[in-house]
Amino acid sequence: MWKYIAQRLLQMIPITFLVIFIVFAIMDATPGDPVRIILGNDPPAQAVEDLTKELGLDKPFMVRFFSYVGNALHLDFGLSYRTRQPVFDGIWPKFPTTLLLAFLTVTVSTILGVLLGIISAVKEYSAVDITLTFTSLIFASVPGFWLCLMLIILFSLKLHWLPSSGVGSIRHFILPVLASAIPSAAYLARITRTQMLEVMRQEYIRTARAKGADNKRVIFKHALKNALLPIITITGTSFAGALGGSMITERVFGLPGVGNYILTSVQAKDVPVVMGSTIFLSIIFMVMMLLVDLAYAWINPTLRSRFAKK
Amino acid sequence: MFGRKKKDLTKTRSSSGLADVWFRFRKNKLSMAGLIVVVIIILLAIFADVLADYDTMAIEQHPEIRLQGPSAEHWFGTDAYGRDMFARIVHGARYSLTFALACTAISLVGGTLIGAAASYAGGIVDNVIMRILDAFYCMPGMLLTISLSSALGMGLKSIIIALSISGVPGYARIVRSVMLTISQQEYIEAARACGFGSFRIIVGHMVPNAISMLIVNAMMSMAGLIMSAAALSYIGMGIQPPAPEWGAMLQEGQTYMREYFSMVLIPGLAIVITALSFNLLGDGLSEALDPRMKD
Repeated sequence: MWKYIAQRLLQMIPITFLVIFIVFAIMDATPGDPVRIILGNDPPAQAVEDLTKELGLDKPFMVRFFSYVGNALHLDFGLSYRTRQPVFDGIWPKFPTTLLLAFLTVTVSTILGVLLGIISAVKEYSAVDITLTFTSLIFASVPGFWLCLMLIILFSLKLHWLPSSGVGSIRHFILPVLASAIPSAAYLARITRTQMLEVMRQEYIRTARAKGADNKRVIFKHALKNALLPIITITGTSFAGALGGSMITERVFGLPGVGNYILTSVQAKDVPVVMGSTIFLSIIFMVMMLLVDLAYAWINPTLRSRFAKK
Repeated sequence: MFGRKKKDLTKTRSSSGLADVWFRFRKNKLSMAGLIVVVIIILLAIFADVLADYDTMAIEQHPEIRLQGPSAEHWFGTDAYGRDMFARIVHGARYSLTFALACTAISLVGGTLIGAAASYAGGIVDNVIMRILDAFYCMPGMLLTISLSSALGMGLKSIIIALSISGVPGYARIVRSVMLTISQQEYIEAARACGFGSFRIIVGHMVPNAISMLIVNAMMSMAGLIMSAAALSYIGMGIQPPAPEWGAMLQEGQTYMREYFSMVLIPGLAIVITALSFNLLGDGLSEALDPRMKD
């Protein structure tokens, strides 16, 4: 088991290296002179020359790339072009907001999605099932940012129940969480339904029923446990994704989270911040995928032997 | 002569296969509805200029008729600059369909080539290609698209390229894994035993098997592409106003949404209806192409 984890962690090194290379290349191709971004539009020639040297912009691409990697190994991701502060000094203060949003979103969407999926599957082809399936199909086709706008119009502008932007109380989080959770709950409900239906047709379910297990026990103990695997993958991926901040949701609701910060940084061409946060988020994603795989082994003992062998 | 006979056999089989697919697809009413709506949207986009003139109705500003509600003359009302919303929606369909079709085509071809190359070459080449795809896969998708589109300098072409690049790794993975699974199947071994060359095996047996999966994935990705492109324009990183792109229209309409609710409702509904139709179409197609999927 530990050997497997170590192996997976080692695999992350070349991938992280490639991530850095790809983002570095994209950022290098982005038009806009960093010196102008920092110094403004009409800087004195001497200052331009000094700053170009300081940022190493006079050196060739590969030299700059490797010096970036070298610094990154010392956890030095450079200074933000806008604030001239270390990159992560800008990101960390935004993290709690995003973490709370991600946690609430994933919790709500998982509970809602799995529950509705189970109801749909257990009552296959009933009116409830058809309604739920069709609703989830529609929500799979609703763009997140438009759902945000619709929720704001309904709950803030018309009904005046909830604030439409900012932070301060948990009430500010209700609409953003709904806007991000509803589409992923819809998706999760579809997957859960398909999985449950497949599992319910297995012979061990018939055996369990034949042995006289009541319906509740069959559904939750036998069927759900086996249908859980793909659900875990989706939950893990969406949590990793949500940690990057649902950029657009945060933007629409004016939440000062990581996503909003990254979006502003991309628009302002603040290269070090975009680089640092992309690398950070990619590593979070990889760690999350490792945790998902470990959860597989925990839930399904037959998979455990596979890990042990490696 | 022997060769011709075999060719004929495959021909009849594939045509009856298509008929089978169409027969199964037709039975699914929701998917048929999706297909019909998609065809209507495509027709609207093609004949957009006939329905409403681009320059005078969708772009030119008429301040004297701004912010009007729906009427016989302006079916969807007018926006803050007095432009006809119906004209803008219809012309906006061109953008959305262009994104969906162009990006799908580019990433499909790119992904297939890369995936096939990886599985065919094997060894180090395969390993390197897969690690690069892994790197793309673990970067947050929307962030990658946004950075790419800002690097390429916002506009129709750069959005298409950015969204296509983000789509390539997915197709490449599918093609590679299908190719690897199929190459171990018994009928491929049988084909090899019959003395067929690699090219014939790849084109005749492996590609057709991968294709149904690729078509389903391509159909399913259309809705996502339409929504992503709209999101890009909405946050100002895509098509810029005054172009009648649906996302850009939402961004413009947002300022007025308190009093003029329809300005954010109509472009949004256009996106939802288009995306939903593509999803229904994809759903039906995946069931029709792989009957095993449906119990």
